[in-house]
Amino acid sequence: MNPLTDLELVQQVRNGKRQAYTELMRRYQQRVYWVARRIVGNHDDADDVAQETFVKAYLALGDFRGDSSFFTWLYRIAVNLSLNSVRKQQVMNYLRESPLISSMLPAKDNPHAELEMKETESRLQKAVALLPEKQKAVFVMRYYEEMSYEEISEVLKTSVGGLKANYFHALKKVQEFMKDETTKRQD
Amino acid sequence: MKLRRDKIEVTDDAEREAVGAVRRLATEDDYQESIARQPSYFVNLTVKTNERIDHVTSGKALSISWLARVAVPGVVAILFFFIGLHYYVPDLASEKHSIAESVKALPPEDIDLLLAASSSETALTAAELHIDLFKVSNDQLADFYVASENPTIVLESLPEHQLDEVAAILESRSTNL
Repeated sequence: MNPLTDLELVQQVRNGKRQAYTELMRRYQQRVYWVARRIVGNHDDADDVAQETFVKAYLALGDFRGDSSFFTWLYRIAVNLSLNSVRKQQVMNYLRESPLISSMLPAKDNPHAELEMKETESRLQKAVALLPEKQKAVFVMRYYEEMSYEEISEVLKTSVGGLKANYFHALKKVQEFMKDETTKRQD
Repeated sequence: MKLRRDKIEVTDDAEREAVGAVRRLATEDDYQESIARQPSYFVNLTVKTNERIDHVTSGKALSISWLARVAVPGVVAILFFFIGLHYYVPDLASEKHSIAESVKALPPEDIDLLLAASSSETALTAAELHIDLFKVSNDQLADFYVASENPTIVLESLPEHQLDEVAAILESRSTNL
């Protein structure tokens, strides 16, 4: 028997069949997790973004008109939430730098885990983390996910020409960063 | 409008070359994917997400969400409206009342004075309305000259014809004395 298409599953969810949504989650959770992980740069935030993406998608399923594929739609939610998460991280990092404010913020759950993560963080991850938002999203989708420019264009609502330039700039920056890191390691 | 000076035409070859360079630089340690490599993680992710959806769609969560998004802001807005109405709208009725009250509170003789003043003829005539307040008569100029500590300045500032008239007035006053 042929498996149901995404749209058929969406229709079933709309008709109240919750099990159909679990099937949609199984199909896409790995890709959603990885796009989030590569944009936000750590497991905990990526885990949260992945869950939030499916919750948001479930609640907004009534608005899904099927103009784009379910996956593209889901991906758009995941990318937006990931970029929001990065912004939150940036704000928190900024606040933690202030001694007065950092004393009011909750302590990190496991400082050792953070240290461990920083040590094992790859050069590529570090390079991606330094990219501007848009370039980061394009880089993740194109380099890791190997999505076509047309698909990325649907997710980010940007022209293909602009995406190509963004990706090329991102590649050059990543390349430069990694070369510098290699030189540092050799020294 | 912001102009882009460094607009580049990215060819497929240039992109392939750049991707190749990054892939060559990214060694094995660049592909560490720790926790999520464990197969149990994604099973747990489905369970956790389902729990979250259950929580969000539960009656309690919906009513809390409704309270937070609709009820509380609504009540606050209504409260602010009434507070604003109370403090910022001028109460004209009470102002009228207070003027009447204050007149009544005056001593009887003052009330009589007010009445006499209001009944006396204080209105200006049409001719008076056309008087040029800044026009100074020659008599007034002569008075000013006499009272002035430095009369030469007064004389120097007068036009020729007025100077003669003021001089005549001063002369006639001195002969009268």
